[in-house]
Amino acid sequence: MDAALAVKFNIFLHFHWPRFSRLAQEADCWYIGGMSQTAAPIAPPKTGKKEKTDPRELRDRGYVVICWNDPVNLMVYVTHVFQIVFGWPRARAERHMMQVHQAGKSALVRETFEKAEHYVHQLQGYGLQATMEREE
Amino acid sequence: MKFIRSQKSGNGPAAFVFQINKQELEWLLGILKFYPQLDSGYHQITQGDAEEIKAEQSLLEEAMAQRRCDHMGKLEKFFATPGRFRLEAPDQFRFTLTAEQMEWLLQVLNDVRVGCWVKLGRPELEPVPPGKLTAAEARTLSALEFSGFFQMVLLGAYDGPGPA
Repeated sequence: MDAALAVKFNIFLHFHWPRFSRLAQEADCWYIGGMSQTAAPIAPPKTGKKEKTDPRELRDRGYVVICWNDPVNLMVYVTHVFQIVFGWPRARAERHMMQVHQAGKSALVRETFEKAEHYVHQLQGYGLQATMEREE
Repeated sequence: MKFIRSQKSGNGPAAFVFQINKQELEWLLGILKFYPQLDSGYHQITQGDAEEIKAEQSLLEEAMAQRRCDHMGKLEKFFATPGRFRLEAPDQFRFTLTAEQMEWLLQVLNDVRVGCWVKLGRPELEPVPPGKLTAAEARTLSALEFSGFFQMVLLGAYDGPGPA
């Protein structure tokens, strides 16, 4: 691989790493990003022991904030809350509100642990049924 | 109760002026006496099994309890302010809410609405046949509906005044 192509590939990986990482784990192999000019697949050593996950690493993975439907919160109120909490324009807020109403829930944002928790506190402060779930 | 006008400042409205009649004011004050309705048990941080999220449940409950406490203080201060409701005409009052007051009042009204709904057993909110409710349930349902009415008026203010 020439140097320029390797750099482009690494930039691409940098932005899309979480998705690639997941796919790579499913395929039982790892693609190493970083600035190396080699992008050959490297299989992780198999120790036979269950690897311990670093809690910090766990917290950096995606957490999804979900809003659940209920028959009591007014639709216009839910839209308003989404606009206030996330700073969304009305159209986007309404789209998520309708998804909550029709599908029973809407995944609002995918965030780090701390930010997801912050949003859940905000949404629950407004009385919405919002939870955070670890992204599968 | 109706929205009259907003007072602009910088990027957005700084304050909202409302008109309310004596009867509505009594209802509003009556509803706010229901606050707080929701208890900490209502708030759930997750529906999943992730242990690192479940561990934060108590933090959420503390944050919500603190928020309720703050809102109680704000409510008391708001209604204790002399001249808060200015008599404009016989039985008609005007009052002003800042953008920040709008937000916490919306939260307070919604707490009453959702709390009353929980108290009623989380029904689907379909029309109830006459005579099917006890007096206490009827009061709770009234508070639920009236808090929704006041929420709608407050939220309508963000869209500007309607037709005269």
